[in-house]
Amino acid sequence: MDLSQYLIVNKSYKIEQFGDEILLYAVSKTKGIYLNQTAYLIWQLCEQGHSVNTIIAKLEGAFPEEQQNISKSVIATIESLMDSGALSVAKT
Amino acid sequence: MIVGFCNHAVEIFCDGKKAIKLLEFLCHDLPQESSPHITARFELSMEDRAGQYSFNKDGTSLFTGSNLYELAYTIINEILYYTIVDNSSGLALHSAAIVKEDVAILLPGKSGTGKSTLAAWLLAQGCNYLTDELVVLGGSDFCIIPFTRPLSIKSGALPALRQFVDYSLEDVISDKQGVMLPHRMLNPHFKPSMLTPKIILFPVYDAKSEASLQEVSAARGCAMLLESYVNARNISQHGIGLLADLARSTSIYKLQYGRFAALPPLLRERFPALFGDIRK
Repeated sequence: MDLSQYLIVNKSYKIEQFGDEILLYAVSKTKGIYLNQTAYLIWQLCEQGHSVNTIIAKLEGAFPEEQQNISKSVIATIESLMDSGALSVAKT
Repeated sequence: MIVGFCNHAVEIFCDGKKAIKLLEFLCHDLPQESSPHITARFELSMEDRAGQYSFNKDGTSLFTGSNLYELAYTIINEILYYTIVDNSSGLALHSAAIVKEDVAILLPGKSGTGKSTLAAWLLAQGCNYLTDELVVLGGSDFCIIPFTRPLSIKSGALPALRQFVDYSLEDVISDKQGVMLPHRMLNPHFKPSMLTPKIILFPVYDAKSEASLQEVSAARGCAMLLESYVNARNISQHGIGLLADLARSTSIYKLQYGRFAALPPLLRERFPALFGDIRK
């Protein structure tokens, strides 16, 4: 994955909150994507228009004790959301 | 004959006693409603001297042939489709439903997940039948309106079930693909009831796996329910908020199993008040 790229969230996806868990769903597909808190943070950072690199840096700053795993986790989450059609790469 | 449920029905014109008998076999436990909305009309012909049956809609043939099982399967699926396709009475889910000790349990899943087979086994353990195929959950309390039909068991599941039910071919409709089995053969006590679901079990049949019963969070449960949800387009805001409320208000589990013998200890341990008396 190109870490300098920016991502676009699919606006047809909505959020349903269950305590500290999130369900991301597209009403047209009746398909849900389960997000834990970290995945939801990544989604929110994508919504705010940050690049993958910036998202990793922000999360590493917020969770320094998890620094070693964050990059891998962010990339896996973004790839999963892209596979589901919830995210796409922004055209530069 | 007018058959359906949830205020929607189809009208089926029959050409004789055989056709009426078949519809009674399939639809005996569907509710009789006073003035349902008729969504489709069919013609069912079974009196042909050459033994050919036909089932038509508006002059278009949906079935022609001599296989009674395939005819019955076609009819019940058409009834189900036309009573649900524009129905906004509640959330329609592909789900079996049973009742134990006045507690309603949903078993949602797509075709092939084993919901009918698990429902059949649970009936043999004393649970009461509601449906093996579809429920509509109506109102803010998600009252279950079941599509009560004969159980439809695929042939692959029959050997395991035969120890729990003894039937002759005259009592069922069958062919090499499976059997349509009147639910009273598994449990003669049928009590139509409209209850709110308290437990949701997602059956996962896997012959090679260890049996397990895992609790599922409301968020994950809602994601799983979405896959069984069939009438979203008829409901305001697609009914996702309602589905989420259902997930929040029920206990949700994934029940994985490969053989029935593994189920009693799991169910007894998790639900002692309901399944404490289940057979070993």
